[in-house]
Amino acid sequence: MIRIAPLGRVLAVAAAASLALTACGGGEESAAPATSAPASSSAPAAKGDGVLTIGALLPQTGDLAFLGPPEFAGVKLAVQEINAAGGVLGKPVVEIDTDSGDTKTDIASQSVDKLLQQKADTIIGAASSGVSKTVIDKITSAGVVHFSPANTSPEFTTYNDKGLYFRTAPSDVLQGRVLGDLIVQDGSDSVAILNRQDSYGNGLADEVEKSVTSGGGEVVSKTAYDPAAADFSADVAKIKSSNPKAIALIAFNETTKIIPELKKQGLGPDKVKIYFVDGNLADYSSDFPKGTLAGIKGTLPGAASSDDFKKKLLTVDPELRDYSYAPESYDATTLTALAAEAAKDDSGTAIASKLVEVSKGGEKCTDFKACLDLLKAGKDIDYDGVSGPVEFSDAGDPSEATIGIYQYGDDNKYKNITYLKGNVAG
Amino acid sequence: MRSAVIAFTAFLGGLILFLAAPTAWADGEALKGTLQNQGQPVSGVKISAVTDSNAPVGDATSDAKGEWSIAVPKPGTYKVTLDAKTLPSGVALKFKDRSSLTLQVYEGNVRNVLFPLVSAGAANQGGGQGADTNTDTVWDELAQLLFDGLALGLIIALGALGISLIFGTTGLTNFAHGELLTIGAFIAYVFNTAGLHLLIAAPLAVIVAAGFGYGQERFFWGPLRRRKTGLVSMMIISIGLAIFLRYLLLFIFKGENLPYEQYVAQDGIQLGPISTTPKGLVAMGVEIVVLILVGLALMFTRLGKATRAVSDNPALAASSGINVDRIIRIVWAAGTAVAGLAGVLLGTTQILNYQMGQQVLLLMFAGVTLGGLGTAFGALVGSLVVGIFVQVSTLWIPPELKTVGALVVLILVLLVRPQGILGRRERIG
Repeated sequence: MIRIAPLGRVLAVAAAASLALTACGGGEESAAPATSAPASSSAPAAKGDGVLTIGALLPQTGDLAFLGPPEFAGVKLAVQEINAAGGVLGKPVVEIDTDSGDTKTDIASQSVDKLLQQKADTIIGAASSGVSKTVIDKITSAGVVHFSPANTSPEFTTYNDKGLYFRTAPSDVLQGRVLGDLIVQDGSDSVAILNRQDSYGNGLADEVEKSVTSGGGEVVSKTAYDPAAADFSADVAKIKSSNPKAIALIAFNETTKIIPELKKQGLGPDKVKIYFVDGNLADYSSDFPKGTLAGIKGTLPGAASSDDFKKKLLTVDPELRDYSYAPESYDATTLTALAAEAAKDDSGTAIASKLVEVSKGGEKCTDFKACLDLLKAGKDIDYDGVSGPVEFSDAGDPSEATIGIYQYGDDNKYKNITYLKGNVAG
Repeated sequence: MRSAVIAFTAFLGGLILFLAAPTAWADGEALKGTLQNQGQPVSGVKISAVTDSNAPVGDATSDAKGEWSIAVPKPGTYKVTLDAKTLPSGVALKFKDRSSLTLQVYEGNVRNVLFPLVSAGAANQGGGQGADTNTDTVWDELAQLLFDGLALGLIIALGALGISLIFGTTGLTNFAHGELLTIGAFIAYVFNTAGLHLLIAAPLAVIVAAGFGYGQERFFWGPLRRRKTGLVSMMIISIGLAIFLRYLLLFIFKGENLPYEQYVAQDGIQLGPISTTPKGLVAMGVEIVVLILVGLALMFTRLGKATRAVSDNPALAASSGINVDRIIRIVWAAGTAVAGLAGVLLGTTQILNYQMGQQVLLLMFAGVTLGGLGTAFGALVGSLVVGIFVQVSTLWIPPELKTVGALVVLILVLLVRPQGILGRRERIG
């Protein structure tokens, strides 16, 4: 009996603590708490609940965690500007941040459950195409818009998404074409492709192969690897045996394991030409000694962020180092808000029905406030965002995009060489 | 073999490439390229382009820099042909059937075109030399894979040793053992980033890991065992502990890959057909020495004999005067220390990540089971077999399936020898 009392107390404390933790774990809401109360009694004609709730499903952990901060900052900045302009349908927009993890964990589907419970109307995310593929059915069958700022896998163009999947990042058909052309331009006639075994990696690898082969080069080895492998020596050995002059490395942050392995087997950037893609084009200045990556080139969808936009992002998150996909996240959020306004309804299906319309064909406007004024005056609008003109095709893909070409310097940071505009359809 | 390598190098050197100028993207659609022969431009080669309906668009001749370009009127599909007759003598196409390329030019873009060429002599002998080079690279690749397999196997062996000893003395299948590797690696990371050189941080981490293992047994597993918790329950608890530790590490260190401060991305060195890094060699040396020391200690010291006695039969060992609890605590401390060392070495040769231990956990279990559950030397042999099979199997199967190869070996061996390679047959009935 005497032993049970302290045990009981411990249990009570533990239970209280877990309750408190659960409360904290419910996602951070950045809008005023008062707005999260349901407004279901008003506007019975609209199917939505009257409050536009945007759920961010972006990487806080995992392989793409380096893309998380700029993407969250883009969403936050847009929500701030929308709410400063009076919100959507007269109510402030609610933003809920959750983690998308990566394909090795099940974090994304838990986050989606949480967002659906909290009545998200649009889910912005995920960064990784592989993660998006695991949750797209769950999101779209709940009638919620799945809007990715960074998915580039060509697969989503034709995926049966009930018309609810959109993205502001261009399909890898374009990035693959540009990267292949870049490799051919650099004069490499034997090319090895080392890619992640997932939706993104395989899709981009196929496009690069197509482009290199049609440009006159030869793909001597195309090796997919398991991202969760303990080491990559066998995968690199396979590539080495085909004696390539250039290697396209389509990876996420396994890059920090693969580059030392390439150097070990004599395939470092000083010996062969190495190309990165948007999944691994990041600032590696604290990961590698100086000069490790010097000369490596890479492609990244998206136009240059203007200094003005970067400054605004820094007010949201002063610790930003990268700006990859921040403009796309910003545009995705703004477009969602505009579509909800155009539909006069914040439900997912209503937003989806207007997204294509607000992205093209109409009076041009470049920020939420200006577009909102035009909408209120009863005009058709064409939102041109910070990431580009954002004209949606009927499949919900941007039909025009810019691909930036970058090169690493001695400090293991990348600098832009040039930007290339293109039509995804060709 | 060597002469074949030299010949192949010469063969590669003979390739002539089209290279585009660095000022790449211009307005207006066009086709272009640059002709070079071992860095020397090739001029006077005629290239022509036609549309897909065979209407001529234009032609160009490579200039003194080897460059050529043909402007095209609009985006679309074009057929570009290199006139092989205008090539200088001694130069031929690398792929004879690809003197014409059909490719698409996109709106607003210049499309780069490449006709890989070789010198005529090399092209004629290309086939024979290619075959030689192929067998040569297969042997080189095999040697490399065997070496890398050994390196992986030794790491697995260090981890498996602890699993095997703990299973032998307590009967616990510890699924949290992978996290013990990760924790060891991250303890060293903390010391390392606090300013200590890795050579000092690593031994410190091993000592702290030993303390962690001792504490785990003293305050967690020991009390559970004394309360007569079943082995299956304890196994499930270990899975829970593994998840707890993994996500605790994720919380503290975030999900990104982290390198140590020293020995990152070392340049490779070539030992015959094998490429490796100095740090890889040192790591393997340390692993072999530690494995031999542990083996000798198990064979010849009083403590080692007592450990083996507890493994065989704890009740009998206790009645013959061995302090079983003390032995188990020492086994936990030593097992965790060795696992921590494996983690540090894995972090040095690969990279630190909160999932690094989990990624090798299954391989460690495979090694332990293959070698014979509960036998320290079995774990060693089994781990080496698993490590080597993981790597060498990629000669025949795609690398993304490499773990499968090792697990197939596991299944086959256990079908024939259910007790594992070095395990003792269990008495039935």
